[in-house]
Amino acid sequence: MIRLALLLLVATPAFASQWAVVPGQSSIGFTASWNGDTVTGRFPKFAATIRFDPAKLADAKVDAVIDLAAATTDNKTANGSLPGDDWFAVKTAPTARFTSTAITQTRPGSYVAKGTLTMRGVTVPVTLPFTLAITGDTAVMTGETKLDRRAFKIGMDSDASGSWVAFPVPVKVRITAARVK
Amino acid sequence: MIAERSPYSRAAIILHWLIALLLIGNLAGGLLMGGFLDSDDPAMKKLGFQIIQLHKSFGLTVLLLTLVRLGVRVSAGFPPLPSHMTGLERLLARVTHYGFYALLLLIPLAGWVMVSASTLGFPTSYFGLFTWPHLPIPTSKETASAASEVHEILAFVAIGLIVLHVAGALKHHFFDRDDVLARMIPSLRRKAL
Repeated sequence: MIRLALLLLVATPAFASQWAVVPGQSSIGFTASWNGDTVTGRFPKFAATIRFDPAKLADAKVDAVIDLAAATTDNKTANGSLPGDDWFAVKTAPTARFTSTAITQTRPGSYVAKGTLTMRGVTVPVTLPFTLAITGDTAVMTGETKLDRRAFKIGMDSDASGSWVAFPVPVKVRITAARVK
Repeated sequence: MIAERSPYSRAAIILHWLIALLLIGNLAGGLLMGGFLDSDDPAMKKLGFQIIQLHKSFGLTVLLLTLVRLGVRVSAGFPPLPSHMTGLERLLARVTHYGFYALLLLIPLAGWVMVSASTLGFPTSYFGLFTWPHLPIPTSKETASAASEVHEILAFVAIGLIVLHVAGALKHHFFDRDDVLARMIPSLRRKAL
């Protein structure tokens, strides 16, 4: 009981650095290359819990859940394939999850989030470099990383050689968050 | 010499030639698409992909037109075969004709099953106008590849029937000198008589 109270006491100051995603001003998108053409996709539905204080990076933590079933692209044909078992397999695992393990600063305003991304039941370590600007109670973060669809066994049944859909998939994240008081 | 009207209705003649054109075009497209898709050149691959999209729209059109064609045949009837034909020739003619109707329904249907069961889940856009629905069947690699096999085998049977059909029509026109070919090409009629 005392330990629990102590834990709460220790944990409480961290709430000061909780951030809430502003949905209308935040986006997670990806680009795939289909036979040389760019297919632009987005994940319109995601939720994240963010604990971030530039002064206490060791405590920083991001946990994001992305709805794969809501994913859509500017290409009708790709949209037909996307939810299928060989691609996002939304029937077996409808969400993807990113959990940070460490966030470090590289330059003023620039950081790297290391963590894991789980989708289709496969967990892969990922590195997300991002920039962050905090103005008062608003934080704007933009980051970009490149995933390899092979790591998640995406599309390996349909196109294992990458002759139609390229292996690297750049992912862009842009988050506007409001400080939780 | 009286220039008789063809015993086939105008609708039957138009449908015959329209379906013939679409069938031959789609057989050519079907035979060619593989080569384009397997090319290393992205432009060729894209062309192959576009051929598939057109192939699907044309094939579904064949399915619809064949249903109309069968409706016309049932409602308006069809002319009798020339009386000089032997029993074997009659049998061959009937097998070819009914074989065509069967293939013109089964080939597009097999293609439709193949697309509907495909794990790729590509939608079918009917000439870019609207999305043609998939058949309500579960996606399955096995079903798709079996349907693909049937689609291809029947396409080769169709090529065989076309050869038989054209050979028969030419035999009627040049050897038997009857009006069988002219029934489908009314402009030949006067010359034939």
